[in-house]
Amino acid sequence: MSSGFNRRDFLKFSVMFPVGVAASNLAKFFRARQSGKKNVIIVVFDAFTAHNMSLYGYARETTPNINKLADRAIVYHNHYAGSNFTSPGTASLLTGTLPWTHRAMQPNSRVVEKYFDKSIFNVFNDFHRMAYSHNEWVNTHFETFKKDIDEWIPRLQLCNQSLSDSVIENLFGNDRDISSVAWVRNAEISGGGGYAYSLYLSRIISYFEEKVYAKYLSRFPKGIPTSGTDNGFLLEDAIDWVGERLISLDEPIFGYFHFLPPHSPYRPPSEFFELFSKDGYTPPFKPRDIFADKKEHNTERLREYYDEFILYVDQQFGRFYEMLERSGVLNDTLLILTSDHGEAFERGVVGHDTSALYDPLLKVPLLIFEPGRNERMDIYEQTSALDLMPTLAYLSNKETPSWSEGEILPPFRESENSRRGVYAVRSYGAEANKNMQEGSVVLLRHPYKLHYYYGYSELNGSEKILLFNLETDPEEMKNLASLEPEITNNMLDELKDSLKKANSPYL
Amino acid sequence: MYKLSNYYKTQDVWTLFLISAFPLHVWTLLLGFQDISWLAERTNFFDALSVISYGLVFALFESLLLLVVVLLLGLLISTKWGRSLRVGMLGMMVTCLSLISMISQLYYLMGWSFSEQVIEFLTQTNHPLWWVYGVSLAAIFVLFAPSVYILFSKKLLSIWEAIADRLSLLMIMYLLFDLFAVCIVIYRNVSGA
Repeated sequence: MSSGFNRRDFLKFSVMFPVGVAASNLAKFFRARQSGKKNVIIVVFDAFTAHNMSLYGYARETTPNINKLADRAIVYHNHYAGSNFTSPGTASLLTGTLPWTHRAMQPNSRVVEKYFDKSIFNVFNDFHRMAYSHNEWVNTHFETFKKDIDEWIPRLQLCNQSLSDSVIENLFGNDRDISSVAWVRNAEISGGGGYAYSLYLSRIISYFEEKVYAKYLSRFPKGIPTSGTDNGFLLEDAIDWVGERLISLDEPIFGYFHFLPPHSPYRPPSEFFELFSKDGYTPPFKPRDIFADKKEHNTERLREYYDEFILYVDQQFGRFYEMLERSGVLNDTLLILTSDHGEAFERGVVGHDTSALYDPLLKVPLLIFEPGRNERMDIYEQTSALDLMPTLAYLSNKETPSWSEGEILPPFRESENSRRGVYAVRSYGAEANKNMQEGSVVLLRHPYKLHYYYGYSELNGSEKILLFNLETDPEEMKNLASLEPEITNNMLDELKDSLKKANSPYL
Repeated sequence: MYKLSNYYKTQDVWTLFLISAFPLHVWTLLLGFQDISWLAERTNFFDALSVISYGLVFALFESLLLLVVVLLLGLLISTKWGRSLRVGMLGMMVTCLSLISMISQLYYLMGWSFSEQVIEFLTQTNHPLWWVYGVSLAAIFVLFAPSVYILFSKKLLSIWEAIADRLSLLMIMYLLFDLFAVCIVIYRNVSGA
């Protein structure tokens, strides 16, 4: 009996295979066209500051792939997150409101009840709505909005499940947040920086976990990236899974995918590890801030690891883009690349656990890839994370959500210039139903940026007011507050008025 | 054949449990109180207290495991030595071991590092690692010496018994903390706090 696959069959197959692939792509294209809806896919990389991206002029070549892809995108150069850490920053992205409105201002907190059905997932209620994040705090938001999410991919599905997860899920599943913190404090020598509450078990646990992750050491010299308590994960696994899932779906998709890198711990893979260690780059000197970390860091070393970790993000975003493009999904998809907040390596601050709101902590990338766009467009106007929701609603032929505090982004909105000011807010200790007794607020009104800090013990009862001209002083080095009293006072009045309005329901 | 009562009476097991649990609880409380303001600032006081409660529950569990190991080790000691010497030696040994573990964690906690002179000295020797290991072993030997010396010194044994008595009393107070901690952990998990 013959093998059943002769030369003639091979030739037929060779001809038909590309036709088949093309047909599948065309089928997707026409299906989407028929429904008249474009897929909307938002890719968020956590703690991804625009400040350290070569796309925006950073001296290190950290984003070579994104730089190339930007030739087919709208690139926003002055895009600001709603806050400087995950819970409020992500809630602003998802609700289109400022932290003082949605009130998810504390770590791992939720938005207030009236926003439970006012998320971006609700706006796209006629799409197949997907959500994934490595970050537990983002999953808290998904939990809040879950009735509007059709496919919430469990966090651990794209991570390695660890011993801590088993203990926490099985024994303390009803108190996951605090028991996770307690686990890190008790059992993780590495998480606690070489010490833990437990004298013996912590050593035994860390010995076994090191054994589990030892196989990744050749690829990740500083250890495998981790999230939550100690869940190791590979970004490429998450990218592959999400990409394949998107390709397999036929119905219009709204997807929000929030990956943890380049958030700490900064663990670049071997191909990028120490790539910047002796490149001679010296960032501009900036004096230590009143909100600097109490602990001293090797700031420049950590910056190097972060920059190398960005290369990993850039590589994986490039793969994701290529995957979607090759499959034809991008023919009818709005693809968004952004972040929930920034990261800083200056003024004694490493990371984003600070009350300061300098640009590296707030300025994040925003790129919009539209179907059919073949040339780059650069937007320099100051824009906000709040603007994403109304813009995507507009681009999907939907009404602007009534609760949104954002505006439709340029170049899509009809009026030439926006007259509004852009805000970012942090009030780490503010409970959802109480007023903000301490806080950090910035107001951006081109070309000025006003910082306002109040209520902090570091300020000894006074306020801290800074004014910078970002056009002439993008590094925020020269405080103009006393040199430009009129501008300072006008902006401060406007800011305080907004703050008062935000606080009024909680006084 | 082993007969457990030849080795330990209930009172011995209780004493060994208290001695094993004491350093674990002290360490947990020390680190917990060091963390409490940081945690309370970021969450609230009850959540911060709950983190310490989980720590105490963990310490209680760890103490029980340690007790089992210590009791098993004690079975290796001849019955001819008598119960008080066995309990004294095991108690001293577990305290020394906990001290070594605390010191090794203190190194990171206090941000200690070798002084420049020490590093210079080590680099000048041909075998810096041998020196580091040698000094570490010597330190461990010194810390363990009392648990061996107690076998030969009745005076040390009686001093240790007096100390152990007092520590045990203190430990009973810590067990009350454990009880509160267990209640808090149960409350949180039942109420879904």
